Parts: sequence; C-alpha cells; structure tokens
Amino acid sequence: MINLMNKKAAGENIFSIWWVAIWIVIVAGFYVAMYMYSGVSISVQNIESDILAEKILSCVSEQDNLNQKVLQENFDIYKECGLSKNIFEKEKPDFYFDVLISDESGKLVGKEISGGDIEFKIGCSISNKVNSANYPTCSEKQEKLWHNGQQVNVKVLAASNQNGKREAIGL
Amino acid sequence: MMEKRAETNILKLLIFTIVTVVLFSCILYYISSSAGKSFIYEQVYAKQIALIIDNSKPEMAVSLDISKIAEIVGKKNVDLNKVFKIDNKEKKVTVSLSGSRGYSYYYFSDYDVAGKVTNDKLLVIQIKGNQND
Repeated sequence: MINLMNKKAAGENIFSIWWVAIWIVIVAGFYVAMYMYSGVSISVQNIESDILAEKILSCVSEQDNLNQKVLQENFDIYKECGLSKNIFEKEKPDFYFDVLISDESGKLVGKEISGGDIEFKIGCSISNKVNSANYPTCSEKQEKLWHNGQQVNVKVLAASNQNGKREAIGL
Repeated sequence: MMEKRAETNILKLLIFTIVTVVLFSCILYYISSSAGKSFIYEQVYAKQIALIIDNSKPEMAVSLDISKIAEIVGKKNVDLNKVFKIDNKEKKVTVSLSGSRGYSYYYFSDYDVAGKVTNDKLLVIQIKGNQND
C-alpha cells in the first residue's frame, strides 16, 4: 500500500515537472520571438539609392545643360553635390555611385566619376538577376543634356547596402 | 476515492489552463504595448530622419510628427529631447527610447543638421547648409 502511494506521488511529481517544462518552452518561445521581432529590418535601400542617383543627376546638370564644372580636371563631386566624402571613403562604405557621360556615338566624354565601394558595381549587375539581402540595392537614372551644342547622355548608377544597427549610446 | 482523484485532476487542469492563459495574455499585452513596439519605432524614425536629411536641400526645415514617440517616452519617463541625436560629424541619426540603447542609421549628405523637439510634439529638422562650404 505504501509502495503504491509512493509510486503515485512520483507520478504527480513527474506531472508537475512537465508543467514547468511546458511553461519554460512558452517563455523561451516568447524570448526567441522577441529577439526575432527586434531584429526585423525595414529596408529603405531602394529609396536611398534613388535619392542618391537623383541628387547626383541634379547637380551635374543645369536645367537642360551639362554642368561645365563636371568636365574640369579639379571637379569635386562631393563638394558640388553636397555629399559627405567621409561616408563614401570610409573603410567599408555603405554606398556607391558612378557617373558616365557619353556622346551620341557612345564615346565617353570626360572621365568616369565614382565613389564608395567599387564592388557594389558588380553587386548591382547581380542583384538585378538574383534577389539576395547581401547584394546592394541599386538605382540607375539617365538624362540627355546639352553640351557644346551636342546632346550627351548622362548615366548615374547609385547603390546602397546600408543596414542600420542597434547599439549602446551615451546620450 | 475515484471521485476525489477526478476532482484533483480537474483542479490541476484548471490551474494549468489559468496559468497558461495568464502567461499568454502577458506576452500578447507586451507585444501589443508601446514597450514591445519601441524597437520598431526607433528603427522607423531613425531611417525616416536620415531619408528626410538626404532628400532635403540646404536652408530647408522639415517638421516630423513624433506624437507616437512622445506617448512611449511619456510612459517610460525618458526625456523627449534626448530621444533623437543627429551626429553631424559621423553623419548618423540615433533614436533611443530606452536611454541606454538606440537604433542608428547613416545619411550621406554633407549638411550641417540640427534637430529640435517642439512643445507640440514635432521634431523640426533644420538643414543649415553644406559643411564643406
């Protein structure tokens, strides 16, 4: 009789351990869900690359004409377009841009102007075919402008691969 | 004897159900509460401010409605003036609803930017001009 009661008590203990185990799983699931929830990223890279391309295009043009400064040897695109040189030239930049000016025959006018992570250029050609979070989001804008009575084609490629982050702050 | 055992089992089941329901309610309340949403709000506002700065032109001022943020920090006793930090040197916007950790996002424009919180729960972002001018 005593043996039977002991067995019953052991069975009840096991049952209560299962309860605790189930609650632990629920709480652990909650923490995992919260961790995943806090890590959710809202992508604005497409808007960012669009803004960058538009910004560069508007500063290399003057209404329908090509900004003559663009073809000068000492042209500083960062100063002219109000871009931060430090952001584009830091160790691992999150952005890239490339400006190509060509005449009607496709011949390059002046030199190619670029800044940021050059690897994004290859990434842009891949990201058009493969959808992956590791590749940058790119924006390409073109405009026909007048230069010395001839039409030139200005092509701007801009890319962003910026992922913001949560970090400790010292406000 | 059998009846007593059945009663005990029903009681156990009842307690288990009540505890589980309470636990799930707490979880759902936390997720739907402002505290649970603060991660998202930090990110949304940091990115929104960075995009506003990049899409602005010198000498512009943009007002951003921050009433949602004000509501959250009001419950947490955090100073609303310390929620938004715009670092002109690093070109970084940080939004922190906890005071200790925040979400940071960079902008690429070389503007001298100032952010000011007004009494009517607006963040006024002032683009003062290019820093390299």
